[in-house]
Amino acid sequence: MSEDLDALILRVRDLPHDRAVGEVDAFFTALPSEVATALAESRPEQVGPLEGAPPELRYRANRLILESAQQRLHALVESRDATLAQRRRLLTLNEMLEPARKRLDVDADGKRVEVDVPRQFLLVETEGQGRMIEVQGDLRTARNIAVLVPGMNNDLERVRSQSVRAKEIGEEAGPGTATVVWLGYHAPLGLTEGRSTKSAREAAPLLCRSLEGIAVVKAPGAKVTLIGNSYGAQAVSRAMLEGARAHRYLLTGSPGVDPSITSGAQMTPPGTELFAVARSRGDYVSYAEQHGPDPATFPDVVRIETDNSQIQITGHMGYFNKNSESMTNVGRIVRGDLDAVTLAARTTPAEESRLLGTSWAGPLRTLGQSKAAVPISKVFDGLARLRTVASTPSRKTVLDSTRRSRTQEGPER
Amino acid sequence: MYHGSVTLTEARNYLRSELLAVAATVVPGQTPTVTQDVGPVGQGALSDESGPESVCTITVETGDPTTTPDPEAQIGFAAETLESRGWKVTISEPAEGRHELTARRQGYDLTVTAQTTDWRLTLTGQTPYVDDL
Repeated sequence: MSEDLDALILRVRDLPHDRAVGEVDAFFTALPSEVATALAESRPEQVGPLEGAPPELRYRANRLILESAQQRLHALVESRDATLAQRRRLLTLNEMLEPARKRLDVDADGKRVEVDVPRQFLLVETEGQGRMIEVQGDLRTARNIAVLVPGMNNDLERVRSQSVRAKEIGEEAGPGTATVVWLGYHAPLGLTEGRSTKSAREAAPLLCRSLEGIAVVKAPGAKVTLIGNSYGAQAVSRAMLEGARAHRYLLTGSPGVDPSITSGAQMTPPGTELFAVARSRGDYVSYAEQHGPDPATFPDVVRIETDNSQIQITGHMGYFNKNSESMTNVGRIVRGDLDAVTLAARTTPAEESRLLGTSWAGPLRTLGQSKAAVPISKVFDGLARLRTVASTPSRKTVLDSTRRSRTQEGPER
Repeated sequence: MYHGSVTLTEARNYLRSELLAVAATVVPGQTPTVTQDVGPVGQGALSDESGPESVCTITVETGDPTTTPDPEAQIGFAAETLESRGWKVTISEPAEGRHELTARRQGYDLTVTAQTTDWRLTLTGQTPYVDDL
């Protein structure tokens, strides 16, 4: 059976995404469940990331990968051979092995009980900057699925903020929603890397295949919304250009797609229900148009409102702020309540900057595309590195954390 | 109630106690449970997610599984409770059996949701961002 799996992986590698995922799905459907489970447990490195394999098997396989990496790093820390980066990584793995949260339920006697909700990973890469794809909710039964593609500076350590964000998107969209944090690519670490579209180009085929993997397990009629934030919007845009299969698309704080892309029609895959964008006042990333014209300026996309009477968003960071109009619109889009989506006025960056009492939109756009952007990027990158070193945990903290995570049970429902 | 400058840890503890207190009042006789509190997470400063950890979100669940869900009454009572504690409350139009209110006070944001098909009441709160504390 192991040889069959190897042959399958080799055969589907270069197939079109839909055919590849279909073949993998057929392979596992034909297996008795105990054989499939045994395969996931004996070959986790192969089954864990395999698009088209049942998610339950992938969750199991990826948990085994995490536990194996945890054991290896724990031994290094205990023997005082671990580097600072390895110590930080162990802390991250410990957190990934802990339950995502609790929920209230009732037991067989009708009594209220607290139940751990395990984290569910469709991909974990524990080496280097790391990658992961995390699911919150049930992909098989959800009526709506939101796939969130984070942007720059997300590695395995820092992506935890995105898991919280995904949970909030799920709550905003309401019952019957599953969310996916898709850090299935190596996001640029720092503005220097972010000036290149290389990461986004590498992400596009991986994201397209992941969406096919979701399509094969989701309920008939379930709708998928692909959300790209910041550099994640660049990755989503590249996937759209490669024919990504989702129903709705939302780009927030986009740095642009490509100099040649000036309209939604040029990049919208067939069957798209909605192509929406958000740009709040003073979003310097969108104003800079590092990678091409800002999609918020395209004449044929829906530009959603970000402000309400309670909360006004400015800058690049607030699109998912709790109770903001932007976040409310994200929820509406994900659950398909499209008539309720509120639309923003089609203001220009210059008009938005004037409202903020500044007028730096024009200069920023020029700066973002100038040679001076490179040294400025390096200064910002240096600051980010300093912050990383300062937050490195002590050996005792890491070992205590490992002990806590090992007291947790495995996945259960 | 906090006045003046507080740390994120203090804000987190305050939000947690406020959520638990409101939940205990709205559903008497049931102990509210903190179902998620992962601690400070980053919102980002220079670019996407490179900033320091700057905000906390906390979720509390409560409810009585032996009673028939009455989300309209629960949200109404939650609104009264929050207003009496100084929160500015907005009740949303119910949609697909989902009843919800949002509330804001001194930079803290809060959502309470209840559903016709579920006995649980969920309260989720968020601290102000560090710069606003």
